[in-house]
Amino acid sequence: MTFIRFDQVKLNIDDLLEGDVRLASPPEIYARLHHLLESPDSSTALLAEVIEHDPALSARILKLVNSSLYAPPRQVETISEAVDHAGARGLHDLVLATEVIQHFDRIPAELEDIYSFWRQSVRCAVLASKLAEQRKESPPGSNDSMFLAGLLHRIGLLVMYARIPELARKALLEHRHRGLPLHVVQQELFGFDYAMVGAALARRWKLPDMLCTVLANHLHPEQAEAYLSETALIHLSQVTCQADSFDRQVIESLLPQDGALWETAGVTPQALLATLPEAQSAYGAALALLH
Amino acid sequence: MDIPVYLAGELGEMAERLGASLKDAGTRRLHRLASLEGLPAALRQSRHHDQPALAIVSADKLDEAFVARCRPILPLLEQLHVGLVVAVTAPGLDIPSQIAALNAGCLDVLHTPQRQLPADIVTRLQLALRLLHEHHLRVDQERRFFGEQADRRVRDARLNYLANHDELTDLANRAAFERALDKAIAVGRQKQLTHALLYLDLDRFKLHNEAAGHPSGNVLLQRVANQLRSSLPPEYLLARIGADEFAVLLQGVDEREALATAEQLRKRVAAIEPDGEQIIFHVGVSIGLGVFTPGAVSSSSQALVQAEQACYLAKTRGGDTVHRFSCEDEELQNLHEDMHWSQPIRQALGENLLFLAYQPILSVAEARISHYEALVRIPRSLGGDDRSARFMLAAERLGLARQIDLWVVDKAIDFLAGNRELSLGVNLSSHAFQEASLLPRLQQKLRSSAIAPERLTFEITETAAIMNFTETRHMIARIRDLGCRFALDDFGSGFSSYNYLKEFPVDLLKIDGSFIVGLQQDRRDQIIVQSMIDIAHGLDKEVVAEFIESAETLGQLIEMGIEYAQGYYIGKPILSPEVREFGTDREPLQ
Repeated sequence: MTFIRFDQVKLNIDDLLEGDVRLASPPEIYARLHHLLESPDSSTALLAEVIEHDPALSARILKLVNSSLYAPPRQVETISEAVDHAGARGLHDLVLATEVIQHFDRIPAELEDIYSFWRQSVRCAVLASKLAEQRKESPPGSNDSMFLAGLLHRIGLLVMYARIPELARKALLEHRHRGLPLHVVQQELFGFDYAMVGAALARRWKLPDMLCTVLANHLHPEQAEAYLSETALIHLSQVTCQADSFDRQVIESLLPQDGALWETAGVTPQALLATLPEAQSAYGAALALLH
Repeated sequence: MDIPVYLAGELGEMAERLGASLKDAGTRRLHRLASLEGLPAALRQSRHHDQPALAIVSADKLDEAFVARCRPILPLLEQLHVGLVVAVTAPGLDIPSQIAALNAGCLDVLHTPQRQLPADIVTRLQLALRLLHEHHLRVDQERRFFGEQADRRVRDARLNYLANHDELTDLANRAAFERALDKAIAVGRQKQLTHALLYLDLDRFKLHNEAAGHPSGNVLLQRVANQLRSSLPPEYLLARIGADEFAVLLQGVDEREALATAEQLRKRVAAIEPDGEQIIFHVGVSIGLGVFTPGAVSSSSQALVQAEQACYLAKTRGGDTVHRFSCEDEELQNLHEDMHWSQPIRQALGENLLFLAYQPILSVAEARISHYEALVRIPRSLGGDDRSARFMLAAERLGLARQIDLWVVDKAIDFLAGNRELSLGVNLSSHAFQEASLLPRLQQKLRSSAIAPERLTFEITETAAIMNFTETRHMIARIRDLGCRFALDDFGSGFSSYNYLKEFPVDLLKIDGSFIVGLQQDRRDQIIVQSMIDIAHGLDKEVVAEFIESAETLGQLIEMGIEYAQGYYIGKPILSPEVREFGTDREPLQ
């Protein structure tokens, strides 16, 4: 017997993104930095110049670089110093992170509180980057990118909140009251989920390949065909950060039992639990992103 | 032409001349690059991404190999609004390559520019710039157009959603539900599927709303919606179809499953705990269930009416219960009868078409008929008959009884005013005593007609009296203060309690006809009737016996001590009553 579903919605992801100028292309300043980083002989001075063009952004960057997240040996006072300290790549990620958070600074209140949304994302981000440091074979500089992947893992949800608030609310209600994972409900209702929307946004904004792949697959890491380890790691982090604190007992009860998943991620449950105190203090610092 | 211009590759002394001409034409930013391949890095580091630029690239000859070198760079140039112009320094023409270069995105191809006047080249470059401008304008317009299209599709989807959903609960709304139901009914007929429909109506919602306020009522509705949502698999369509009414469409289920689902929903709603703040007391839900085999109903409205009727019955049975629709339900037939009577009664009231028939009541002591019971009748043309007042039951259920009561009181007093020899008993419905205007109206009418109030007797049934015990008692006392008499009708038919007899200050007791019909044969009836008469007399009340159909019964009742007699033997209801003698020539049997 096939049931007729009456509440399906005809929509596609591209419409969500393309219909909104602010989503259709990446934030301007990020796009410039991106171009600079693509060229092999770009200088610190050039990078700094682009950022200094935006005083608010510069202030945020300096605040973050001086936080315990980057723990500079002495006070960083100029963007050039910040570039030297965090690295060009690190700065790129920082700019993207702050730009995205600025970009989605409000969502309809009845859906979710924007601050708690970002706090959860920041928890995921710090945990992912701390876990990445634990990995046996960690590619150089990949930890920063893991921070970004953790921060952006639910970005698709924000797109849906902004573009189709009523439908997003319906999905939320169904998720909360029917005990089904949100992405499953979204798939049922719209034919796509927030991970797919997030990945589509990342591709449209030409974010690094790793980010696009992780955003697309983090809900079902077994389906990933590239960046397996990163995807598994973000999966573990996002499961963990659903607890609203770094409370060891709560987190222990949330951890997946799937051995292969841990294997792929290159970490162990013990290692994860061991990083919690460190993640906790990094979290406090990273909250500076939100202000 | 104040735009950045990049000169890439070997242009020889041509570069100097071109540079000078460009400067003359207003170009201040001229960048020299060694090769085509250096262009991307130079552009990326440039600070001028927000305005167009031109790149002039020299080529010995324009061939396939050169076009292949351009290809990887062109997307970036496009992105950064930089137009590429190829300057071919060696003579010779490779037309296919030239076409390929233009198709790949090059703006223009200049042949042996070193032999041309720089001014001409600047003109060509200006044209190229114009072309670039037009190109980006078109790209922008296209992007905006596609963006608007996409945005419209998103807005359409949202509007469509809003049109089909209830804003408070995010459930489907009535319109969407009806459409889905119609579709399911059609599919059911094709594929031989049985569907079930649940119609849910919250019990006491109005009360809750009034007591706790509308915002709290809304919170309650959301809680109920979520509770229902959490109890149903997604393939069962759940909708809010009225203020506190919900509906569920269960596709392809049998009655047993449907009943189980309904029962489960009932329990889930009953389990909503008051929180003392927004939800102040328990609400239950009455659920009507309709099960529709293929072809059983033809439209959503038909299906909804049946489920709603079943829900209504669930409600009349006290609520918090599930009732399955069945055509044979007695209440449902009443409901149908009520619906049938609604229009005729309203018409009769509106056009003053009701009339009274009068049934004689014999005074045993006087052997005379001067008292009649007035019975309301509706004309035959409106479906009435002479014998019964069935429409009165419908009128009570339809809430029209009060109006009829008032009409009867008016008519009865008019009658008494015109027939000074007669007295009259009139029946009042159970609602009469809640009608605030009854008493003043009666008072005013009695005064203006100047009739002796004791000529008017009000008859109320025992069951009606009990329904609103306190008010009724109070009202009876007030009406008796005016001087009217009261009779307790159908005594013994209901939950007869002698306590009521004690409490209700009535003058007369009318023994229910069911004790009289078989009185001759049934010794138990005789014992009961005798005891009722004795008690009434003991309490200083007179007794009327109804349904007397023979001389023998009358004789026996007179023997037992009744004061008044009524029934077909005494006389059927008539339209023009008068005083007459009775019984003198018919000596009652011993």
